[in-house]
Amino acid sequence: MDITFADVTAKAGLQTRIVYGASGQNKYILETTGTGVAFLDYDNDGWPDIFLVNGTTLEGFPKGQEPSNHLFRNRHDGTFEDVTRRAGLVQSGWGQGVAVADYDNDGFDDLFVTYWGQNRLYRNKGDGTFEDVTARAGLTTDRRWGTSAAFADYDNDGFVDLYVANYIDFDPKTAPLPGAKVPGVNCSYRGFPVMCGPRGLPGERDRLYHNTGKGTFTDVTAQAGDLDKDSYRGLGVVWGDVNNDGYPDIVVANDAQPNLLYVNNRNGTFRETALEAGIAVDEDGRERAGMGVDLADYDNDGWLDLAIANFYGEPHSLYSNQRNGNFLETTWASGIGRATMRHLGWGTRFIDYDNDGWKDLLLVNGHVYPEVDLHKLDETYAQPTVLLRNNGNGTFADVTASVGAALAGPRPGRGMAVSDYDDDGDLDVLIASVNAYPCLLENRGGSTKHWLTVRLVGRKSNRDGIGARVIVTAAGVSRMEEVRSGASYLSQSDLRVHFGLGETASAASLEVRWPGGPVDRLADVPVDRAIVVREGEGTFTPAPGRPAPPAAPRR
Amino acid sequence: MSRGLLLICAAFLMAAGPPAQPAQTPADHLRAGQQYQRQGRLQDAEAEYRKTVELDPNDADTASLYGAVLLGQLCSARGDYACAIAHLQRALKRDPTLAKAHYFLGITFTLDGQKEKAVPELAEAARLEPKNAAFQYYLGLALLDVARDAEAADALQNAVDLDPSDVASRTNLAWALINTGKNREAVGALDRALTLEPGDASAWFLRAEARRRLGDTEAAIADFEKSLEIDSRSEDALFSLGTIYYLRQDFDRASAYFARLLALDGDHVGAHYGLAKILLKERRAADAVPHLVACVTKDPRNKGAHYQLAQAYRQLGDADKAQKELQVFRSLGGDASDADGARVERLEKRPVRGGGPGR
Repeated sequence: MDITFADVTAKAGLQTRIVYGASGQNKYILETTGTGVAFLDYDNDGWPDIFLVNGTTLEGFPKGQEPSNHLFRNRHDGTFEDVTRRAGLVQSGWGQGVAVADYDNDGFDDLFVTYWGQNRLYRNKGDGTFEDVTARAGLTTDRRWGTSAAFADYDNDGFVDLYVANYIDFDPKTAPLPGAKVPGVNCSYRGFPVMCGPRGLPGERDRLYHNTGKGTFTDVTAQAGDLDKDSYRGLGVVWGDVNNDGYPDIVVANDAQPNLLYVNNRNGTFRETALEAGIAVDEDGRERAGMGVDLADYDNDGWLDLAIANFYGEPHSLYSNQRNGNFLETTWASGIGRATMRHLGWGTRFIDYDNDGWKDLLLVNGHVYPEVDLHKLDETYAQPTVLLRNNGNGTFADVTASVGAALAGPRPGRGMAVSDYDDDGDLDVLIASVNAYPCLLENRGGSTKHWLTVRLVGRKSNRDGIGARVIVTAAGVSRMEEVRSGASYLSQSDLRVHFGLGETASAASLEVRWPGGPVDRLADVPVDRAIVVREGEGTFTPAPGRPAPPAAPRR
Repeated sequence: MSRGLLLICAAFLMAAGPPAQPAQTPADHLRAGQQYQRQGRLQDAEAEYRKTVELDPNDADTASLYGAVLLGQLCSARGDYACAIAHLQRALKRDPTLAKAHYFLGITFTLDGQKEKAVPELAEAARLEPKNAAFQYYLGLALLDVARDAEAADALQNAVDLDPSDVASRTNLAWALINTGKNREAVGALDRALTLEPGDASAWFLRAEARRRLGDTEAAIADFEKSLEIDSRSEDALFSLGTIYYLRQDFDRASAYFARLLALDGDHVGAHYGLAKILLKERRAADAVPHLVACVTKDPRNKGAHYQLAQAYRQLGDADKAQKELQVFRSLGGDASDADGARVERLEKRPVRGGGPGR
């Protein structure tokens, strides 16, 4: 059966327009970054719900008509209900990214939303409503431009900590205007005046917040290793244990500056090794314009590999983990370079869309300059989303054209998240675009092959099991995934981990390596279903949500 | 002096006055100078023009005004740009509507390396005589020189419209279009240029470049090959082909092109660098190091070569040298200073320098 992605946005009831800056021409770089999306199960019913971050315009809106973020509850029938007001999540402003985690381990997932302005932490009260606990949690800041954020428990104390990438120290009162001749500041593109930056505009330092376990966070950016001391322009962040030592490390994608790799020293501090590890710059020593970022084991060797989306005219980057602290750039050898040179990338996610057991790569694209259309350049503002199928031999094939027109778009895409929101065994996609409706893409046919979805519940570890490594072995083949908050661009994918198992219909064994070292091993786990694994129990339960289908051989 | 400028001088003289007579007045000296110039006696011509200026220090006479313009032109032709600029500016002070004086002054600024100053002079010439294809053409070239590609494309399009048969205008238009991100239009301009002049290697090269940027690699390779067939010593074509095959991971072919390039120019940094990267991919770090050393010897600020040297030393297990190279790499700083063109792959080397309408 062919696999297609169908645009079910309208049918699902997600027709809420995302507002972000001007159309046609932008005055400031603030109007270019767009917004993110999240899948989260805020009501613990086993069905992924959706959170959309919204922005605004320079002109603003009359009181009461401001665009707001939106929370949509999954009705379990392919449709969603807008519960934003009821949930207490009405909020306007220059919204950017979203990360999800149960920061207080109360069993309900909370929301962290970044802004140009004050970021916000929303505590899930467990009754369908959220409360803004930003100030109480100690996360009040001076005005900053937060972009991507991600939770992980870097010190394995059972509470998730928070990394927030910050972009530019931006003030519209002083920012130069399009076409300005300011030494060192880029205000033109191919000879045309465009919004100024990012080059020449000062970056803003990222922040690492330590969760005290008492409902508050402490800024440990300096004491954890003087993180981002050069205040690079951060856009993407992902946590992952890149050296398999049981502690989460951090990768930050920076815009037109070197990417960063913070290796966890296992004592509450990090050391930055990106240049030595081979991911800071391209092979010619040039800084790429990093946007979205993701980690996954695309070659099934048990080590996390890395993908970063970049600017138009640069390839999106793929790095293979060399298992010794270094990465080998495989951008061109994998075929990804050729497929992505003419795209400007944002949302980035490894996704086994066809459940063949090999993680494919989904890249959402869209230009930063609406003016490229005005001047009729070859590059366009709206760009195709690209799906690259993993051939299982280190190479990828561009299969965008084969999965239906809806996935490709084109669109001025930004954030992107992945979840099996309809619990049918294949991964669906949600994309945010600038000044457009979101796009919910239902995977049809992806579950033809076998699969397993695992939700973790921590006991000693953080409640969501964020950072836990899940290894599924079926028919002698092991596949690995980590529970991950954040990643992609400004977005949060489902906290459940999904495994494609290919033709393997037989039961699988499953190993969960919880943060801090405890290991649960489960045998004879049936496939083609979603399960819940609770730390320390050594067994599993069916996940709430759609009942598992009867096990039957598949082709 | 460029071929184009010589041709324009000749064209100017074709419209000149009667044969030289014993010179008394500025007009007499002007005629004498023009006659000498037609005969190729440029020193004598310059002496006559100088007399027109000396006889009429206030430029009251039209003949002395033209004398100053022609004197400036001849000074420029023999490389005395200060002399040329002084006389042309003097003429323009008296009559700012002298389109040719603006034109010669603009070209002189270009030849003198004062590229920013050339643009307003050539723009004024083109404004005064908008139907003059040569003015539009040289304005376009001057704009290209200062990376004002979109404006250059407009001027060169004007030149093409005024003289559709001129290949150089089309070729340089294509160059401007490539740099403004209009590769499809560039291919169109080059299709026509190649119909007019199929043996123009630079047009084949540019069409290859445009097609490469459009992602049509196969067609780009074919055009680069054609360019190389016409001009077998084209370093740009050899380098481009080496790079394309490198990115396609066809290291044998890439090596062959880089090796051919090194045979032409043993110091070619790009060829050394390309070969080194291939050798590193093949885990032959010891063979790569001499190429990379050649790169940094020739170009000590070559960040890519220092970065690759670090990778090479790491492959060889020499952590100290690898770290040292990374330190050098870091010390060279970021790309932030390259703000204007930082996000655009600009084709810097203009393929067609002379020629143009009216040659």
